[in-house]
Amino acid sequence: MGVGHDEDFGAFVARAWPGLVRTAVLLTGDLTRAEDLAQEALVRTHRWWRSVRRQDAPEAYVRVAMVNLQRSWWRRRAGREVLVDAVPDRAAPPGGFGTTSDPDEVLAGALATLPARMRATLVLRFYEDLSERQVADALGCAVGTVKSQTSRGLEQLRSALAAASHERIPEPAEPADTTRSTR
Amino acid sequence: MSAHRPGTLDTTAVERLLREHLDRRANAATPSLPPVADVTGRARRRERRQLLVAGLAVVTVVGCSAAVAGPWLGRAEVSLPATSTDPGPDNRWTVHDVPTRGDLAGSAQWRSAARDAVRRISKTQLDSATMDNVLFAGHLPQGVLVVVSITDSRVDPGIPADVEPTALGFWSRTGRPADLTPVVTTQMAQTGRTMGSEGTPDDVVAMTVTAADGATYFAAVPLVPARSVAVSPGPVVGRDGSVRRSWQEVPVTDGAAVATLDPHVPIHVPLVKVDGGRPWPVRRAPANSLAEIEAFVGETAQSWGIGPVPDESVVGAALYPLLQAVPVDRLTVEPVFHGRELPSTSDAVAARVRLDDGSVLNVAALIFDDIAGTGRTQAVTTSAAAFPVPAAEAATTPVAWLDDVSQDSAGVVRARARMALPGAARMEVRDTGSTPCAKSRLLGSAAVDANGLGTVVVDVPAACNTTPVTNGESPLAGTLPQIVTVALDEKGTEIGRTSVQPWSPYDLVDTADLRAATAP
Repeated sequence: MGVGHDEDFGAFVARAWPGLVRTAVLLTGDLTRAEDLAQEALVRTHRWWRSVRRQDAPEAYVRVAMVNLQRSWWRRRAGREVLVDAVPDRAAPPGGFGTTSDPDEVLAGALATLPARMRATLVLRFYEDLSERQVADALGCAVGTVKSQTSRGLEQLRSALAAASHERIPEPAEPADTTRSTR
Repeated sequence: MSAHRPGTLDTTAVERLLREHLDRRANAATPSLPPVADVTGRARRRERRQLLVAGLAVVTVVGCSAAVAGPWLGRAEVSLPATSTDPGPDNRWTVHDVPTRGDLAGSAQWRSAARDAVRRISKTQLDSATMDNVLFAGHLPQGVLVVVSITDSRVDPGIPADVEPTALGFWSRTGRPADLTPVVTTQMAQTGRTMGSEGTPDDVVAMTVTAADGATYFAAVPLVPARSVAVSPGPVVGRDGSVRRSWQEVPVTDGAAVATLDPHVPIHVPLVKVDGGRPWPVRRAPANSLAEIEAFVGETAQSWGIGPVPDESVVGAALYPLLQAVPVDRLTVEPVFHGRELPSTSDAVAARVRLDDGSVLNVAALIFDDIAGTGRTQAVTTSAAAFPVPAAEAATTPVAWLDDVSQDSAGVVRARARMALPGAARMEVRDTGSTPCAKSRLLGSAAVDANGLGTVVVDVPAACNTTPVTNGESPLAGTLPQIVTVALDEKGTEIGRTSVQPWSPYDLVDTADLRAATAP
């Protein structure tokens, strides 16, 4: 590996970086960690660049590395507290915190609670538009596992949306209960 | 956004909402400039190190098996690691390439037993971990300790495993290889890091084991050439409330250091230093199983008794560090506060924890479910306070913590000081007179809110501020611990005080006398 190797790889990094980071944001939920994840995956790809570059979509190779790295980080950090630089302030939505009915916020919150593998499955299926077979290859699992993970993930999102809807959106007015009203 | 009512969505509509959401969220991210030089440079350095390690592997095995022999404890002589292995261009080994230490370093039988032990644990706690390197294999009194590093073959398919290293400890009380059982599990053993954004690589892998008779042993394998290590078994809280750590020098013999820990220290939160450097945590066997912790936290949350039942995650965050060190049947929790941290997003709990040896600690934790502007949306809990207090004054020592510590370009440190103490009607924040300026100055005052939480926003001028923003420095060397929160009753009489940022036994810092540092 020499200068030409690095120049070629550098051009790939420059071209692929924004897209990789955007995918990583969906995997990690956080831009800082997303950039760490993308950078680490690229560092690992460097060694195999000579063969990876011959693939139709080298980005796909890096994305697989990101998904697996993220699962590894997630597992190692599970159960540990997360320290942040600053505890944020924001105005509470009407009704108090944790009561939002904005589907975007509900989805973001629900996605964050999914296991890393399930979230990766949904991101690869519905953001990267990979087929079930491609997702299975990326995650190193069976197509059936992708199907079940997708189904369960979507159901959890649907439940979260439904729960938020029931909490915040008034039900349509029911027909008058004439029996009760006559008592 | 779709006009669908979410409550009536079918799967297709959820898919569409999800696609739209993912697109919006991904496109909202503004990546920094591509780090081309950084990526290429890091890759080059890592590949050079891997080549060097491969070239030295044979020397490592021969050198260690010749150098290490005999039981560890009882050796009085001090020697540098008796190995010809080069630690690498950055004068540092990783857990993957540090030479095996201990009098059983050359034993194929113990190596094989350790590999089997990792295989057993991988079935229950890991996906597909395999043993990578043996860092230590040696006799301690009443048993054999084996410390290994692992790799996960499912990370990076097609790329050699180079994950964040993890060190595990296995202990055989009988001294038989077949009886190796985990003493430090993966959940608590992330150590020997060589990459990532979490800081510098560890200088040492260190852990403790407890023998059948209750004696606790300490073993450390430095990852840098070292002459000695120092171990501190845990904090000692004096009757006057002072908090001190004592350090015990342990010679490095043939690349490892072994010692017994002082059995009289009530809370074992051991730290280790290599050649007088910064302190690192010593991995230790958890005092409670996960099931015991979950049950204890659940019962504690249910019986909190202040407002609605708090979320178990926030109660767990407050107690988890302590429950790593103290068996559940040795402590009782006295809730002090539960409520929202207005105007923050977070919910908070605070409590007084009494140990059966008479020690008292104040603890607090926060939870918030969204961080505006960061795109981070998972529920986040954090331990906000965990500090020893004098037992005699525990009932009048506020639980105090800081939120939102920030520093502007002019050097002014702004922090939101919080305080909870039953009976307090007002809160003041004062300089104790020991900071470089603003001696005895009143920095802020506010009434305690209806939930019992006091909040004062404190601005520390740049001229007063000696608090390092970066971690790893002793907070007692800085400004904030020298500023106190004072609790006043309805008549304005002081009923208790503590530092706005009390020292924690879990901080990786050596500490001076807390009481002296916070005295009026």
